[in-house]
Amino acid sequence: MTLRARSPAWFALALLLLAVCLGAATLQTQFADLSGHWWQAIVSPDDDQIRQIVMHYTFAPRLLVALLGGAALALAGCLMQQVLRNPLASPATLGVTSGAQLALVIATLWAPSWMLAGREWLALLGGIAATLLVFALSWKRRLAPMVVVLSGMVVSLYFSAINSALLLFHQESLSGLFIWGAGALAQDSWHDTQFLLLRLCIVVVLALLLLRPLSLLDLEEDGARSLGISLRKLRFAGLGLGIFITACVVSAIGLIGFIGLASPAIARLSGARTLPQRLVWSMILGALLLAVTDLAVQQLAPFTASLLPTGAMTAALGAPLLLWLLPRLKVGGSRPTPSTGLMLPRLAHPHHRLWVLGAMTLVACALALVVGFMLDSHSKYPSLAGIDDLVLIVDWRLPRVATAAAAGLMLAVAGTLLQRMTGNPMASPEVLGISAGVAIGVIALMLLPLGIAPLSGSVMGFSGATVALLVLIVCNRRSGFAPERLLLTGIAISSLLDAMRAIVLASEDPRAQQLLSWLGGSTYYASLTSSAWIVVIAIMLFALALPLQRWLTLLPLGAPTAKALGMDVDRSRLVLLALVALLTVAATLVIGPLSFIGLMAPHMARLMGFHGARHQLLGAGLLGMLVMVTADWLGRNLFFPYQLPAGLIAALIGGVYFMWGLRRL
Amino acid sequence: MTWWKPAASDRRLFSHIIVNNNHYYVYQQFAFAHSPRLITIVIRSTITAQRRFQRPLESAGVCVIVSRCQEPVILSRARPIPALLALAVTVLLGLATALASTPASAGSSPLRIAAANWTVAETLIALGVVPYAVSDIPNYNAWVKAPPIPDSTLDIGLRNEPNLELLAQDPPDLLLTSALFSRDNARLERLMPVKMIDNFYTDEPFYEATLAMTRKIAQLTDREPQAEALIAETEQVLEETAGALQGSETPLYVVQFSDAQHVRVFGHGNMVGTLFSRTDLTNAWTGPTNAWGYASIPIDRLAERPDARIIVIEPYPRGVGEALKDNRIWQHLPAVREGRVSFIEPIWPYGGLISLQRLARSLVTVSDRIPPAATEEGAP
Repeated sequence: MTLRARSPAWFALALLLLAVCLGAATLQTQFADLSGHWWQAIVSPDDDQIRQIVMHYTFAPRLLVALLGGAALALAGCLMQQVLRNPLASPATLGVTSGAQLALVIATLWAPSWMLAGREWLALLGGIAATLLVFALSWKRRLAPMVVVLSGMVVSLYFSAINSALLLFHQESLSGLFIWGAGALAQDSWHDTQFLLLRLCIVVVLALLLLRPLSLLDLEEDGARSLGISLRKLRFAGLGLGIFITACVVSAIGLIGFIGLASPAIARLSGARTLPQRLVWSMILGALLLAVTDLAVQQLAPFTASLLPTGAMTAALGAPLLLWLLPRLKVGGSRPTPSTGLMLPRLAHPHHRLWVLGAMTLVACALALVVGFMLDSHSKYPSLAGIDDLVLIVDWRLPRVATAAAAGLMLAVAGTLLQRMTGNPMASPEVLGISAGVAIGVIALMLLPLGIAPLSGSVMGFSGATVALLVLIVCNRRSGFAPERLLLTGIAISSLLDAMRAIVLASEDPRAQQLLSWLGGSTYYASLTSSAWIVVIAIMLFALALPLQRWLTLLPLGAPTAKALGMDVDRSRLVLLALVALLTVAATLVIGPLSFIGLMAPHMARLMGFHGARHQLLGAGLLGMLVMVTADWLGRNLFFPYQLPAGLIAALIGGVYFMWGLRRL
Repeated sequence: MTWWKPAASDRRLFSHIIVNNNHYYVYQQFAFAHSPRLITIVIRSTITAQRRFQRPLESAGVCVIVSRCQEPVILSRARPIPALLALAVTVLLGLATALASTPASAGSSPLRIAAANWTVAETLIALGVVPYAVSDIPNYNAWVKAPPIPDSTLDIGLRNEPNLELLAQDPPDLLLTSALFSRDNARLERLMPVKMIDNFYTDEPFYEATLAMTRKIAQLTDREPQAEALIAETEQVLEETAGALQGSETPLYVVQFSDAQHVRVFGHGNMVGTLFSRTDLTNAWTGPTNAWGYASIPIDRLAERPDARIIVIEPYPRGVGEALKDNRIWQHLPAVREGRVSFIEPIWPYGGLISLQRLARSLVTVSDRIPPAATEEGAP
């Protein structure tokens, strides 16, 4: 990367000024009656004055917790990105946050007495369990960055899928966890501040001790090893520190996803070069970012009936900042692909396996159509039965099976195209932010006052996708759609969706449940017409993607190689991007912004031994269909008459296979 | 009459007659006497009834003609030309019937109704209708509680995603949807008539909207007298409440805990707001509320009115009761320190008239226990 002569200090200063202004405004508007006694209220409040108590136990600790939490998450993100040499690594992508959340959800539902023991410890336990799983999956590969990142993604997806399923069934009982899950910083004592301060100090000291060896990771892997560094121990230590401090923050103040990813990125983009610089500046920026967001949220609070969760709102502030910074930075050539070192078995005859997959897909479709619950004529309760009523199958099962298959095919193809195009194993339609754009459009529709009016969701969804695409193109045109920056843009857009989703969920709007199910990838709303359309579109787009195999073979070699072989890299990227966008929009509109298949199907195809571009496309497509159809059937029948979104189940099925595949590596 | 025999595909027609043995006595006669004459008793002038009987019979090769006076004539397949003619007449007359249909008179056989919304289900049961199907019955029993759902009612899954595959196998006569679930009506209407009924998302205030909802449901189920009785009873409860609470001037927060640091505080736009406007009670919360009439706030904002009482609607989310003991803000709230907090049993604050009555009664009970002047009891 070449950098302009600029220092993060300017950003930090601007944020600091903003924080001071907002802080003063908050004091003026909300604690005006204590004017003149502010300091006394914070330090030693009068026990009989409720206003002073409120200031002492809410305002002051809340500000400090925001600063500490922001700094801690930024530190964690910075460490993880350094260790894994992947700018997309962050506490959220490694499964720590979803592990912590799952532990709390399970405890809330089935062992409420454990919550009394302290939810900090439960969350820590969940975070550590998720991390251990990630380590176990990547241990054999000596914690190679790529494997760690992949394991982290899949563990994270897996846990959040279980979380979402539980939330769907227990919405009323878990409404408090929605608030926690969106990162509300409300405090009622100084306990969290002390908790975080102590742990942050310990982690900072330990991180300083690791600073020198960690800096050497900037070199290539072999270079670092030749200097006598044990890579596994170093990674273990670096990741361990990051994960520990993340779990502490998560347990104390809830899920705050974006800071860990964004502040190191912003620090790097705005000119922090060496590791010590990056560490310090990300911590400062992270702390200020979270504090500013929280103060702004407190300013807005009196005007809304909904709770604005700070954790989710950080994305609303950080994402535009990141998007604004991205085009201002020149990125040279392509990074070397990080997929080095993943040697997978090659098949002598991939065709055979493709035929088997195809046959399995057909059988799955047939079974999904025929087998289901029928209302028993003797009792009111449904029982499993076979072919009975053709009308029923055509009217109510066929659309869902067809939609699941088509969506699985499209997302798998989109994921394969993206991963091959960017050379990044973490790429998927959701990471690119297009499905998030569609979802933002649809959520906006739901939240508009005319939410019930029959304004078409597809129109809004399509406009959302178009806007997301425009943002992608505007931010990336000058860099020629360089992979890393493209993915960062996508993540910024996706995190805006996360912000919207968390706000909707935390506002406890009863429609949140509907949203949750759509976001989980449900085929519930598929009709014969829509499924016919989607099948036709899927086949057409798939037919368009197949002839592109030359590009798909060359692009993963890196832009310079591809250029040297006579390829117009920019044009091919633009065409592939457009194709991915079309595939994603079509799939997202019918089945929601589910990313799991788009991310996993290409990897599953590779694990099965499909390496060539064409074979991977076909294999991933078939796998996508197979998994989605099976998932849809399970979702419809597992808890009949209650239904789970196919996307969630697909994540659970695909996740198991994926983890098993990783272990086998 | 021997020329008409039920075919295999008629099974379902019979099955639901048997299933609903308890509730639809008229069908019983039909089931025992294989006489088409008796169908006259059950077929009513609604499209539903026509569709429900006509379609299975037709698929068995039997042609049903529904005349204007709703007296069906059944012809056998053996006579093709009359059958064709009859088919044409059926379509025409069916249309005519559909257009000319009037609400069935009281006393005729009840409709089988599926409700996707708890408030509608609550109202149906209150009107003495046993719903054919209701969404998410286990959670209804935990959160709405009263009136209880009869055992014979079918569970059709989540409120916003009622299981259509299940409904399609034996479509009810009417599906009542809500603002929560209102998409895809065109396809649903091929199965059964669909009506969206909700007491939120109308232009009217909560109470008027709930009355309108109750009357609408009553009209669809021929229960107008019961509805008027329920409304009169509710009015009476409201008046009694107003009488009992006369002169109580202490402002009141009515809240439900989300977690140990956040509450939903109820205001204008739901049943709590109705009670505030119908009685002398004053709401301590004057801030904005959302479409369901509540605001989510951190508990420190309950200190904004130090003189207020706090009424907590249970249930607590799990663990909150314990967490509140360590919550410094909660413990320092004037209402908590001075024992002006009371707890009432679970009530669905977005429900219908029964829930409203229960809330009103609970408020009176609680007020009896804690007079406006501060006492030392009631702190958690």
